[in-house]
Amino acid sequence: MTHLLRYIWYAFVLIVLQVFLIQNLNLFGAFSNFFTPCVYLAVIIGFPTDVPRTIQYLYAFFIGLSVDILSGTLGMHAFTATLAMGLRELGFVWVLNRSMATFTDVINIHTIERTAFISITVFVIVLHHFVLFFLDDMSWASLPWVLLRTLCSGLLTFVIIMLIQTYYINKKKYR
Amino acid sequence: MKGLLILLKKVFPFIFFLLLEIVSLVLIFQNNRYQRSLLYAHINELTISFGKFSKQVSGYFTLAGENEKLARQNAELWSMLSRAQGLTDTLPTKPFAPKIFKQDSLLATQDVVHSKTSLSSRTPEYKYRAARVVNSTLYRQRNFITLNVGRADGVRPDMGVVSESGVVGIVVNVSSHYAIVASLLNKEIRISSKIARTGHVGSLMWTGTSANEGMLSEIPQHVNARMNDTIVTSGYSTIFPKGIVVGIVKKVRQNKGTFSDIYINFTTDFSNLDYVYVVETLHASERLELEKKTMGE
Repeated sequence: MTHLLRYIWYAFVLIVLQVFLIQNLNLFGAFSNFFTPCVYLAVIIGFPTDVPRTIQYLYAFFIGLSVDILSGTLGMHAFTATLAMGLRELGFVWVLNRSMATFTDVINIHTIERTAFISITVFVIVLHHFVLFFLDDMSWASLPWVLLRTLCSGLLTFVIIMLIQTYYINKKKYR
Repeated sequence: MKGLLILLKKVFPFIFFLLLEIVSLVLIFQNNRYQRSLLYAHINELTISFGKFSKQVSGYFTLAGENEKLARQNAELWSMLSRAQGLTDTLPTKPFAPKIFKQDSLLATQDVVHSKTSLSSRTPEYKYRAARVVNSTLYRQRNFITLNVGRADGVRPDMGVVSESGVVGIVVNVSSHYAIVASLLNKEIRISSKIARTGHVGSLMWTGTSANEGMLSEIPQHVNARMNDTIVTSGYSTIFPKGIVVGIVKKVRQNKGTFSDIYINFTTDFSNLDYVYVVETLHASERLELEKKTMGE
């Protein structure tokens, strides 16, 4: 239960970071539209798997909803964050070849193989970003732009998640 | 019951996941104007294409009924056409004009003295009844077609049968609900026909060799029949109205005698007949009786 509360706190921090820093910072000037990482994916991917699945989905849903409310995109992040949680599960089952019932631990870059973790992360990030940007545009004509945004923002999200996983979690020795 | 509960417990997280996704989608389309307008446009498109599709499907299922309706309408129109032709045939051209012998206008020359009052009282000469082919033979020397109309529908022997593409045959036998038609592919059938271009009349019969080849005989050798000339009914008999297409000239063979044989291709495809029309000549018996009395046969 304590780590659940901790993860709610992490979520709060990342949401604030996402909405007030990343989405307003214009780090990439004219290309900022292409570089909008979704840092909250870090807590979704790293969320403990021993928590009931309904709680996992609810957690992701509320993270997304909070981002939506604060950035005026009602529903879009809620949809994709919940989807990301489902995709994470799918990734675990496929990449680790284990059924969800056997997960009783926290999954991060230190508890499973590095390549397996990277595969799951990339899988979740790419699909999450693609669906998010597609929902934003909703037209097949702008598919190349959606793919470019997915690539650029996804790359940035991936780097941020790997940094958090490698340094922050390692430092805390949280397992 | 216990198994059901276990199953429910197993799938509940997934159902919950779907529920959250649906809630999110509802939020998206309720609160974002751009997405909502796109969704409505897509739904509209989908509804229209679904409507088109269902109309096509339902249209296919009602096709049989539609065909029947069209066939009936055709029969009515042909009856009307024959009435209209009867009227134009009797129209006087000029009060004392010399007789102009035009092709297909024998009646016109005879009826030129008719007064206008007689036109309005004139009744149609032919009546058409739609019928469906229920059976047919193709590969015998005497081929027959069975129609789904009979005595009860007013069909009698010696009535002509035509289709949209041309002459089909002659009714030879009827029961109360069916009629047997000797098709053109029957060596006993002779049809009085003429070359539409020249107006020369001959007797048409099946050669008995292939299902689409006939021969027009008794055409004098001086008649210059050409390839692709159209052969139509002469209208001399009481069976067919004049001018109904029978076939197209394929080959002309000069005989040693005074006549040439003209080989034709039937325009009717006897292997693919469905709707046909039985032609009733309305004053046939009167005409036949008069002819018989005069010619003493």
